[in-house]
Amino acid sequence: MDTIGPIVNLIFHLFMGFVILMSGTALFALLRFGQSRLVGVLTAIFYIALVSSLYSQALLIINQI
Amino acid sequence: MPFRALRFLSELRHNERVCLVLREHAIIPLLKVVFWMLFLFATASLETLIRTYVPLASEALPSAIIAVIRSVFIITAALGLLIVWVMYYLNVQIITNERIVDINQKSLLQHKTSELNLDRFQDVSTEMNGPLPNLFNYGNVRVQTAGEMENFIFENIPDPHHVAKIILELYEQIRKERPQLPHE
Repeated sequence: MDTIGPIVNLIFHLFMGFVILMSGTALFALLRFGQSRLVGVLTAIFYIALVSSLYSQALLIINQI
Repeated sequence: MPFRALRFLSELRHNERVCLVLREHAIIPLLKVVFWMLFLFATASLETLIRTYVPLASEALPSAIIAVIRSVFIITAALGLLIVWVMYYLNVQIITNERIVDINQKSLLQHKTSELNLDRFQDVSTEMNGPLPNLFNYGNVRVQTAGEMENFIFENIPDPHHVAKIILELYEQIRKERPQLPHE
């Protein structure tokens, strides 16, 4: 049972690594090729805030396992 | 609009003006958003069902794992929505009185810009297939070019007949200005 927490932690962080890679690519494309820098920056801020809050919520739960 | 369109074009030529800036019809990304909303709804429903009908789910460890899986699903939906928005925003076509510029974001890291001078234009056709395109008035515009240049296809753009009409009018205007162009 003691091993479940670290395993869940590892799998979750591997998943987050994938999300960060894909998100970074999408935001890079938006800022590089986008019509408006402002739209790109606002999208990035909103998205990073949303995913950060979801990540910290999940991390709190994982720490309880 | 012309000011923002300059962000895409390296420069406007002498006497060139932007006539249209096109993106795909809003119904296309909207359907994708609806899909992700249904995905989130299914996630919430499944979690409720599991917590209600599976007695094991009320224990601490399974409950925590279910909550983590829920977070994973929500983050996946957020990523999916971001990609939907980015792909919609980055695919754009610009029609000026002299050329057509097609900026095609095929994937997140595949960006292609194609340009067609209107004096190389040969033919334009439109197609609207299916109930949704006819209901919401969107479809494809196919621009045929002279010579070996690849044809342009604008997919799922609003009011394709009107766009085709504008392209034809711009071509006629160029022919009047440059009568030395070969006729069809």
